[in-house]
Amino acid sequence: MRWVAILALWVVAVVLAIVVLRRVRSGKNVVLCGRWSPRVIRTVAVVLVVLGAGEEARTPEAQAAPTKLPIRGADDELPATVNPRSIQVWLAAHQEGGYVEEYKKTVAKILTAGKVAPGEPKVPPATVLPPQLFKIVQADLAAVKNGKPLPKVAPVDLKTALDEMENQGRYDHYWNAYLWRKTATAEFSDATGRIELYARFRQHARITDALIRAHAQVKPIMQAPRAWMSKAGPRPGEIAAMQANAASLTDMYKVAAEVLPTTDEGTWKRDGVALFKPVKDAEAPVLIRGGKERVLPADESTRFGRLDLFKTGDKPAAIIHDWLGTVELPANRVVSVWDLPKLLPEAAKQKLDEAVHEALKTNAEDAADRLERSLAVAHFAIRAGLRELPNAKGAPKLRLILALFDDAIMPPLPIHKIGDGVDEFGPGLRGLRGGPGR
Amino acid sequence: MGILHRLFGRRARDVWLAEARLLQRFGYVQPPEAVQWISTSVCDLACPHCYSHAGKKSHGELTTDEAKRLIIDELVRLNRPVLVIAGGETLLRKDFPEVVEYAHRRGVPWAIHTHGGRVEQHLATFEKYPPVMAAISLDGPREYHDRFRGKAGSFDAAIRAMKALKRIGVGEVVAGTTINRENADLLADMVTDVFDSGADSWGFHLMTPEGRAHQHAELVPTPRQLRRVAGFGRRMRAVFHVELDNEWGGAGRDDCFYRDATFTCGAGRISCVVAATGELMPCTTTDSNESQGNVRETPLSELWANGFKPFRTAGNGIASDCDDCWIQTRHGHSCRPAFHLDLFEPDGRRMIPLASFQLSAFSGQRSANRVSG
Repeated sequence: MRWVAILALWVVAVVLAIVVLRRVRSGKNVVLCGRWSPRVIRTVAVVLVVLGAGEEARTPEAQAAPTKLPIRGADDELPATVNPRSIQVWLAAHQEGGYVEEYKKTVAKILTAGKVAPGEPKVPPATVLPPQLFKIVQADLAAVKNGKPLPKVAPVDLKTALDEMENQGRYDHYWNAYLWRKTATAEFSDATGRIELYARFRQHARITDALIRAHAQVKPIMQAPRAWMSKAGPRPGEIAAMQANAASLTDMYKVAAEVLPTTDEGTWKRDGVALFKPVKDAEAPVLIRGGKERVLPADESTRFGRLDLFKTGDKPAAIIHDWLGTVELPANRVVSVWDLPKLLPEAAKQKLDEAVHEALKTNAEDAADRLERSLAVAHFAIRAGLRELPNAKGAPKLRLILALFDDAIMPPLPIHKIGDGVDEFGPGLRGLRGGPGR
Repeated sequence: MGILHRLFGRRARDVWLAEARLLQRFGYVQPPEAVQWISTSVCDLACPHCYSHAGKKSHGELTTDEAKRLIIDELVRLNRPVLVIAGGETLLRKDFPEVVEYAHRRGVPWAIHTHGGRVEQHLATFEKYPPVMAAISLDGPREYHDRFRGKAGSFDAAIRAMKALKRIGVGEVVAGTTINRENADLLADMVTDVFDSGADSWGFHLMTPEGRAHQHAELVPTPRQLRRVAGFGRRMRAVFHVELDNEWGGAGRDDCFYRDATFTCGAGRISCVVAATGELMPCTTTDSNESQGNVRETPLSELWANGFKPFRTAGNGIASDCDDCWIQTRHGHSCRPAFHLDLFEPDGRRMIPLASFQLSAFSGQRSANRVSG
């Protein structure tokens, strides 16, 4: 019996080989339109790629990226709140057209426009957001509706909102950035609270990106490449087929855990930063990133981002920016990107104002680029310039750049008058009134 | 199956590539996922970024009967991929309803690219035979859009078209913005309009310096602009369905932050384009050197099966490289990969200054090697 089976297999193999050879020799290809043969081919292709057949196609980025780090820090582990169950919630909350996404879109629209259209926002279900975050957002919407400044939020409420989000598996860049923006006006009673909160924002961003990566990696095996992004829709039945083959939650969890160590804070690292060096012979601040203190290297520039903090000791410290010069930081302070622009010397403020002026009036790319490269300190001047000249030639470009800092689509400018025409974000552009946009 | 899924997901692009080459070696080919038909060169606008010279009707455009017989019937043989009807302005073809009705009758799903100005006139057709996707061009805020398109009221028409298409239940309405040097900075100002249009998603395309756009090198966006636009798109994805189109090329392991599906160049592998005169092209390139034949002379299914060899086999330079938009690369638009680079750690090799663009250098060049810095 065994010999018969072997013989039969050989016969099948020979017949198949002859068919394939004839086809290859004839030079005429055949379009594969069956139901099962594409699956077999796909499986063979996966195996081939795993065995190295796809190596030539790997991108330089993919080759350069380390797949594993030698040491996993505590923040390289997924917290207990991320599990297959919470990933299911995460997927549901991010469902396109779902009420959570619709609410988010409405909030973004209202804050972008700075006004509430009649009938908006529709009353969302109570579960649209965790309670504390919902309360904060609704208060902001009410303020916009009444034409009032956005209310300040106590640090403890920001922390509670973040706790509730994460406990529900609601890892979300938009709401994370929303809470971070609220720290611009939050009054921290001690340094520890701010340090912890900023470390939480950073970790939240990393975990969100790890989940996005995991979602991209765990896909039904028969998924076809998209013919044209945004150019051709799925064929009828394809969406249903995709949903039936929904990604495995356990696989997503495993992949998220695997990619977290090599996932950084994404846009928070990429944008809204400025480069600083310590000043020779002066006291240097300590950089706090992710709750950990780092000494600023003497000879190289260090990026200071939106989730970073400078901490000074008993003596004032100083840092230097290539373009804006030396910035002195007062003693016993924790300084964030919201504080730093206020500490700039007058000459630096003047430089920024001039660059903003030039970018607004002439739409000059070089001036805009200079501002973008120092966005961590330039954002105040840009806001002030946009308030003065919202319709200037270069205003759209600066709004786009500011969106990279705010990590949002141009939310309203959090203006809080603190006395005599001077708001918290500085006096605005000097001498620019009556410019081209007025 | 879990392991297989993960292995596939992690290397999807490589798998697709290996699959195409494996099949090609043994005389097989996958059916296309989508076939775009440039139904006409006629257009009532004259946008500077047009990848063709749309305006007047080309000599020898496919007739209604040819469209049915040479395209739609052939697509049935090719497992019914999506027929993407584009132009010119496709709604200026008088037989549009007839062609769509025929596609529907033959079970071929269809999608459309239009400037939107004539959608309302054809709403009954859209309602009766709904497309799987309708993409409407939106170049900027009202003032810019109308000026760029050279027609007052075209912005409002596009917005009305999107709202109307959603109202009648079209599954996916896309606002399509082709990024150029002038509108790259306007995106933050477009958000409210896009939201209000009712569009399901917002596609960021990239101006391809071909056709009329070839004469407007000054409109090619700068690397800095591309980086900002991509960063903006990435943020927008936290709120709305935004995608960077294929012309941008891939972003390596960060691709998932910019689009839903891993980038892979579909030219001749998963998609193709039938030009207005019946030439079969790998994508929307207008370079006649890339024609695989004419559907009038050889059936589309046969051209698909036996053409596009450089795209399906290794060693053909950018044509066989799924990692990049080969047509943009060939046109010297080599600053695109800068879109996902870090501001302070740019890859100098790829950040070619705009001044070095030699748009004329590529003329007549076929499947050139990757442009190096």
